[in-house]
Amino acid sequence: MIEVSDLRVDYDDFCAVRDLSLTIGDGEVCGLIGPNGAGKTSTMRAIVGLLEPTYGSIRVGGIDARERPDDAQRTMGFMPDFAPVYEDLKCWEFLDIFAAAYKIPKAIRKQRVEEELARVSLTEKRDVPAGTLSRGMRQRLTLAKTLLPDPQFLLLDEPASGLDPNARIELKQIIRSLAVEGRSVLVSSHILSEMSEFCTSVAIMERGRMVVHGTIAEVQAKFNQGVELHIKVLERAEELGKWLLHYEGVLATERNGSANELTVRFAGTDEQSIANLLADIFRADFRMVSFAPRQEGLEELFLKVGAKEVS
Amino acid sequence: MSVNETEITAESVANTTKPEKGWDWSILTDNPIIIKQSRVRLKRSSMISWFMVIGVLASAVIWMEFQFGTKRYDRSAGYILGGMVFMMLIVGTQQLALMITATRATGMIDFHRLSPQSPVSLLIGFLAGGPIREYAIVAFAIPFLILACVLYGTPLTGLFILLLAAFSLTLLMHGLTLVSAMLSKNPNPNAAKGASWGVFASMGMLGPLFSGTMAVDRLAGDPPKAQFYGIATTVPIVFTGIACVASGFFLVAGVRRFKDDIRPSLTKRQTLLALSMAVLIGWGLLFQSVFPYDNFVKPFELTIIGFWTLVSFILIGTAAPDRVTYIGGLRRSLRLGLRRPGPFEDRALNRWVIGGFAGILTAGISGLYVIRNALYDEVSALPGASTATAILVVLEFGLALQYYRLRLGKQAGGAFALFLFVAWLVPFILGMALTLASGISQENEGNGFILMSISPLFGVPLGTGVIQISDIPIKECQLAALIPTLFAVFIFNQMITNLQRRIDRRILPEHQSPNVDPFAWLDDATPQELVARKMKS
Repeated sequence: MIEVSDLRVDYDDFCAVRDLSLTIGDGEVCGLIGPNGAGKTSTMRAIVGLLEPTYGSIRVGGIDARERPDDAQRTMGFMPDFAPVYEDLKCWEFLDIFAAAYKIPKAIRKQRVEEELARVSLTEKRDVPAGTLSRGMRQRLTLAKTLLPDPQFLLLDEPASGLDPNARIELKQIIRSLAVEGRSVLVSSHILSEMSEFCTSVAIMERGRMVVHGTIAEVQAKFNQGVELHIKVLERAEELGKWLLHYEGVLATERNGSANELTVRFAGTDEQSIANLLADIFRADFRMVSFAPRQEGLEELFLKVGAKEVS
Repeated sequence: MSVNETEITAESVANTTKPEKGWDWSILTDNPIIIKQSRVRLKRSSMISWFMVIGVLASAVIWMEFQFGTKRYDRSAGYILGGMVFMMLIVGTQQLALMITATRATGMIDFHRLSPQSPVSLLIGFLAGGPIREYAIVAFAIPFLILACVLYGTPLTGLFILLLAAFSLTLLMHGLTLVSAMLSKNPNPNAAKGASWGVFASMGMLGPLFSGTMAVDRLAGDPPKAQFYGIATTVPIVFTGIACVASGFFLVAGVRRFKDDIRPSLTKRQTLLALSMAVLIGWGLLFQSVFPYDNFVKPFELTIIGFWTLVSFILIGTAAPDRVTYIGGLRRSLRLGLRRPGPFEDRALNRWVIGGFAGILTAGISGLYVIRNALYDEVSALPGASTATAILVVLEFGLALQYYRLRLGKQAGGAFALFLFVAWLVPFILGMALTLASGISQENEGNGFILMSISPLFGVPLGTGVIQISDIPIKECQLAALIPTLFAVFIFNQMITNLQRRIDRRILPEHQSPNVDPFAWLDDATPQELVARKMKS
């Protein structure tokens, strides 16, 4: 578990992170979202110990990262947004020297290097100088380096930047599998649609402050006024619209042009209420083609939280 | 998984990679940076070429002495040693600077910092790995050097001591380069290239010491004698000792910088220790003094005081936090319920430390006179005003630097340089002009010296009477140096106090008011309500 409380980071006269508190549980993938300059990278760098916070407490797996930074760092893997590599080394050599840095025993070092190269699909490039790799491949090589010591806690700063679609899918799978293994992952990214696919919680930052933090469902419940339902009937769409307006919990209905489709805003966000509504529509003898509650993605959530409004 | 189980897991992970107690030999045998550099810079093909070139050149300089019948193999050894020193000092230092700046510029240094590698392991890695090819070449050349010495009959013990001095000089220069490359705000490899050449241009005087123009036998067979604390020894041994002590402080600074970029190179306590070591070295060197006794301080002794002052100036730079660092420290202290950072914390102002510097300098100068009087079996009074000025100069420098850093933050450098120019250089220039003008008209020649003395850097030597010119009004020069320095110390101290209070007044309210969540108003509101509220406001 990563626990951050009252974290403050100052640069010159600018406060990058202001009294931020954040908790990431085991097996949790937390998406750190915010516009440029929100303080995401500063937060991550402070957690891993690359930046000295003005004050605040950081505990990583129960270890006080500020009192025992070396011990805390041994449990963490950090991948920065711009991944540097030793350009004059081959890919396997690059991983090999970091395997030495992470004190992986010599007997299993080669095996671990090959495993991580395979995990990021770079086995074919093992003998290629790292300097000749594309940006996406460098990113993957750095990810392999980050995973080399088998860290319990992962902090990935914009890990998907520069990756091609295939690599992004692989990255998602890697992150999911790490979460399944019980590791805590903090990921920052601008590609919110993708983050919603693997994040179990979100933390939205703006101007150094934490605007909201919780599971996606919690944040949705906090900011959504009900759930949006897309209903398509075979006929009598207008009649259904009027019927729904008298139904308890329906806030608004809108017919999509002349089609037999309706968009309904329903106050009940729990599955039971939605199931009851569906059953009642059937009972009212409307012939339904489709009924789809639409979950809002992180992008909409981010806009709804209105970080810009807040600032 | 419960929280407790997780804690155990994290602890165990932390412990698995923890080095065992005692010296970790893997720092040398399995150092990632040395491995990296070996793979890149010790490629077989290039090393064979290098060894062939070195072998041919070294053999040639030895064979030439035989062929021409001069048999001065000590000269051959001089050429080989000169080449070795060139490789280690010039090429090696440049490689080290390039490697550090490149590692910093790419951000790779952070990867190493985040690994379980200790800062000491990083330091050793860079020191040994940066110039690894140069070390390999030097190691290859050593047998040729020994051969030349054996052929001439130069004692190998002397050669060993000479090599030790050469290596300690290399360590000193590499330590200096390492710290300056780690401190550089612009980690640009090209800048490092220029900087390392600049360092060696200034070290030009050391070149002839080891160059091929001097026969090795003069340094190794019959080295120049030295006295250190009355112990009869040789110059290479004294030099090695001093270089090792100085290197020790550079290496400590390097370890701190490898830990992170935030902390100053030395702690405040370490700066005090460094100045104390400089004083001890200075006292030891006094025994070397062979100058005739004067009424006041002799040039050698004045040079030692100047050396202590210079060391103080350098150390003060590491002990004076800038505005942001101080405010950060203040915020942290307030958070912990303290009024200000402790006097020896990195983020504390340097007033206590420069007070300590003044104390050490006072002890140093007093000791200097005690030793001088004991050595010459005579008693002479301290030139009090000049001694006080020499100590006050350090206070003035330290307080002025602290004031500008506290006031202007990162822009302090320019303002501080301007202050030094106006306070220390302008009086000298004006005084010099007045002295020259008075010399021509042969009237009031002393006024120029008095004006010159307003700059303490010149006022102290003039006030001690070490400069043997009959027209110098010594008493007036002493006062001219003392009064402005004393005034500056008082003014800067007061300005720091005022500024500190102003900063306190700004920061304190932030910590006295309850921590209000600025986004609390979001909690119960729907987006529509938020927009409506916003519109209303």
